[in-house]
Amino acid sequence: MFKVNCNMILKFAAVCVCVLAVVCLFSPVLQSEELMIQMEASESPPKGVKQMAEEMKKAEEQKKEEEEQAARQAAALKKEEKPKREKVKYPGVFNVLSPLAPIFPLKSGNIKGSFMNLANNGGGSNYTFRRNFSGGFFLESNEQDLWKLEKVTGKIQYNRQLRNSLNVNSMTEWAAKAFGLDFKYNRTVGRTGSGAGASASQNVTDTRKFSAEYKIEKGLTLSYNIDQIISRAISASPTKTNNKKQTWSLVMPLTFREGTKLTLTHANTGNWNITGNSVTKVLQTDAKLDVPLKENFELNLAYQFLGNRNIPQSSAATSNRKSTRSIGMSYKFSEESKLTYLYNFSSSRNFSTVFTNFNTTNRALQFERALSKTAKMKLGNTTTFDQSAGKTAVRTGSFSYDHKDFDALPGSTSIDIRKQFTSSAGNSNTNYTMSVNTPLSYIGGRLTTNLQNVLTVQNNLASSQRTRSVNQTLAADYKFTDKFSIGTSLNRVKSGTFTPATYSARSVNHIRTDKATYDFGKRLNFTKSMEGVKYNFTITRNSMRNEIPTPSVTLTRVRKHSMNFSFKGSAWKGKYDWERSLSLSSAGQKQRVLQHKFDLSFEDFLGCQFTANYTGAFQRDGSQVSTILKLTEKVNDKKSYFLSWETLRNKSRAAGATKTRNRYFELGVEITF
Amino acid sequence: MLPAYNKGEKIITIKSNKTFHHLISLLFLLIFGLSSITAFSQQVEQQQKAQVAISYLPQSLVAASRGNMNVPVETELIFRETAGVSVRLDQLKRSFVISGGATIDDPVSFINILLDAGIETHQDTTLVIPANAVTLCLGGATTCNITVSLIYTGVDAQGNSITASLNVPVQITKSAAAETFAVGNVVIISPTSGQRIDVLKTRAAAKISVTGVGSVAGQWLLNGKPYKSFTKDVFGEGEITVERNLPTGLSGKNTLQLRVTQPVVKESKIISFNAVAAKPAGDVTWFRAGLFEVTRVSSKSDENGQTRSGEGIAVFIPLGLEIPVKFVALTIVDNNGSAEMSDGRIVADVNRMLERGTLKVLISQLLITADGSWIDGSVTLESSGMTPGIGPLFFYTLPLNEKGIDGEITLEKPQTGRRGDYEAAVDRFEIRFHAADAAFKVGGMMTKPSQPDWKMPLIISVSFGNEKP
Repeated sequence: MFKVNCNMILKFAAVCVCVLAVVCLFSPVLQSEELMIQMEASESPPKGVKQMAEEMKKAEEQKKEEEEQAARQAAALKKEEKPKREKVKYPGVFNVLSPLAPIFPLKSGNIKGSFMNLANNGGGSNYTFRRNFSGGFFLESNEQDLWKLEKVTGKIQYNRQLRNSLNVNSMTEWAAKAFGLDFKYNRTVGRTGSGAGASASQNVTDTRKFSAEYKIEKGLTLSYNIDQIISRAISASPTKTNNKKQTWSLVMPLTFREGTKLTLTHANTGNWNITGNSVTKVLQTDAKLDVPLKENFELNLAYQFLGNRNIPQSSAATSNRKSTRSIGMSYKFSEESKLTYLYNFSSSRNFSTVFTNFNTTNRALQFERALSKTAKMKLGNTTTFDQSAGKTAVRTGSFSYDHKDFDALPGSTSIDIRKQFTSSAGNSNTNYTMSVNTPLSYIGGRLTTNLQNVLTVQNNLASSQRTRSVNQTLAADYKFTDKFSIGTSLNRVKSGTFTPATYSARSVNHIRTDKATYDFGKRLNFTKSMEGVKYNFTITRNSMRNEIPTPSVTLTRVRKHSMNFSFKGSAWKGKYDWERSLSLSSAGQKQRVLQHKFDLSFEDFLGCQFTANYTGAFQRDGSQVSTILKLTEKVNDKKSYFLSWETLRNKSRAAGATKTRNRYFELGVEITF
Repeated sequence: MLPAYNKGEKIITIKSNKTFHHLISLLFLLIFGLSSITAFSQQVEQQQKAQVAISYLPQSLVAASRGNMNVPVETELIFRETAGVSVRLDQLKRSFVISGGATIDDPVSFINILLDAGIETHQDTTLVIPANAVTLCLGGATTCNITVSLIYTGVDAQGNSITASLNVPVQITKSAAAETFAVGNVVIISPTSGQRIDVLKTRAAAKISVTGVGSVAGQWLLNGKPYKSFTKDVFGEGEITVERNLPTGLSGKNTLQLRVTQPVVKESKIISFNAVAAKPAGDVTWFRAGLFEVTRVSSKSDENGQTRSGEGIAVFIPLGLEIPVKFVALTIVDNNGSAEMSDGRIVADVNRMLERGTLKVLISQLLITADGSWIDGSVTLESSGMTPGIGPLFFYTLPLNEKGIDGEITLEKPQTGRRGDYEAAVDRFEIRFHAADAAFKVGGMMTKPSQPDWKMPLIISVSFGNEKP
């Protein structure tokens, strides 16, 4: 039982009074104990907890009913004996399609249909009107048996959207089991059209995939695939590519009792570039034996044969055969230290106008070790000796050091180094990349910084030319309070191309971004429905200095203020974003842009859901404005009607530019079942 | 020990060690023996080098800026190896060339893309344009162009260094409506793969990356079967999250997938998770019901054997409430030895007055569920030497929290009252009522019917305790 603690009340009895008008108004009578504004009860009692409980109950009952229905369907499917075909009825207006049920027993789907009217002003004073069907459907069938085919399932999807351009995409997928094989066919077609008249263009991507697969669980898999991809661009200068690939593949893993595992795979791929009328045939056979010699010592042996035959349209066919034998070992010193060694030898034969035969050896050594509790290291060296291409060596090293307990640098550092050396026929090149990344966190996370330094050097030793770029980034953020924070980010990229004697190109690019964020919370609430205000300021300074060959400096500065207001009413919520930016270029050009953005949504607006979005961006020589209004009536969980109106306007005062305006009107229905 | 191998689920034992050794020996011979046959030739000709061409779709890319944020651009990259030699691309260098000349370089990133010999490889990619590039580009314009330069490097199967580059022009606009409407990645974020979850506490959630304006529709697939569908309007958010409760009766190993069906079919990866079914708590004298504890419980099992009906005393310690309640069809489960209401609801008539100084809160109705508790009632401030009185002001479905009552009530219609010639219309009030302190704040307008032009804002704010309202 709640008891009023008088001492507590006396102790706290504190009264903070803010009686603005009332104090002034009633001051002569303030001493009176009888001053009481008696309020009347609400005229129409709004939704109370009893009504809320009723709504919860109804929602639960509906959910339960749906679950039971799904369970009944699932149980019917599980029956092994062929169930008597029940008369299936498609829901609602789709009942007219119910005769299709024996072929396509509907499992789930949705449909959205709308009439769309597009008024397009391409710059002149007249509008071009286009009416189009918009929307689409997705249908999925239950499993069923058809003649010799078992577990036949299908998915069909079609969708078209008209916005700035007409987008149409469709998907068909059929899967079935027959003679112990799993068959699957999938086709997706995507089509995008834009422009009208002479500038009309379309891009079409048509992908077709067929596969037949025979699989023993945890055992052999035999599969056949056909993939065909057709891409077309239909415009004044049309292009088309058509590529068809067929693959036979076999995977056979055999596991022995001691953990020894032998995996055999074979793939035969034929790739026909129909457009260029060239064919590539690839034959690949792999055998891999994994032998765990000891608990911490593993041996891997592998053999690979790769046959490659290219048959181009215009020149003689070439053929390569390559066989590779590999041996790999890994030894685990401890949980965090491991040594891996890989050696492989390849023999390649090239059948062209001139027969060539060459060999490649490849050695790779990788060592991982935890140096201490906080430091970890990973080193790698891969060297390839190729009779033809020469020597390629890639050395990699990565270090990570956790120094979160070090007061001066509480965080971690990771260093990645990669050096590639290529030497071939008197030409030698190196490619070196080192990146250091140190995220730090001070004062309990209030100050966070990140330092990143990436050095890339490419040396062409033959021409003594090298290119170097150093990309350094320092970012720091300081959180004064939960509401106020500042940050800065500095990025410097120095690039150069040079020989030991001279520089042929050198440039330095500095980008600095300072930002401040303040969350006013409710301090600026000037209406009852205002929830909060946030303020952001950023200033970005980009300077590019070209030193060689032609000295020049370009400087761009952008200052941006933005405020975000959020509102919430009893049955609505909204956002208003304001942004003002100023751009100053080194040429002395100034440009200002002002942007307003409103988002408003009503849960209950004349019995419907209503959303409104407006974006307007204005500058001296033009503007871009879009408005979207949408009214949705949700009949129930599965059906809704909608009406939307949208405009998109672009106005430019630049010489030769035109005004464009698009208006969309859409009226439709969406049904799920 | 006899060696054996698995074929399917059957273990076939090979009859002797000898056979096994022969098999291993044969394999070694196969692997290493071939090397001796290979003839070395000193005649070296420049061998075939992989050639990679890259293109992208759609050909016209438009993306909208979203304040000081990175801008994602959904695109499909098409890599085509044309010389019949496979390639592994391992480095990517990205640069953003802003119309006007400035270029922002990204540090080199390490990647791993394997291109098969002579064929096309399609990759759905999100090109992320950094916020500072967008700021510089759009600083003085409503639209601008950025060219994303991608330079891929790698090594082909013959050991040759391979470089392939692509320039992707992207138009940046201030308006999401001008952006291409496209759906990118679909990723389930809850539950995670292999997670063991309590279906009462974990909701299914997925993130869908979207550009532009339009409607996204789809369905959740639970164990491969359609479970629930969803539709969401997108106005340039860049990423949307869809959430759904899982069935309370779910237990054991299950799979979950999200399938987007409109505007295109996109499916997330299938997530496997283990659901822990809650056990009925049986005949208990005490159970937790959201924020409340129900004591002195007397109940019996319903016909379905799953739910219980009965009565008890609902206790809410922060406000010292002890309310007799009757309940029907409650699911009470055992949660690590503690009885807990997982499903159902308790509705009770309360009519209990809470007082703190001159502040009186009448709780008339109470709704308790596992997810929260709500009250109906009214609040009255009695007049004192310092403040005028006002009330009762009615509130409905005000949620309780762990500390007591905290609410901001915005009235659809102002509540009105009269004092002499003056009329008060209250359209909002705030109430805090905790164990140690309380506060009350009223906002509205005072008018005088005899003088229609007379209006004065009404604000009354009173607190009892250490904290200010």
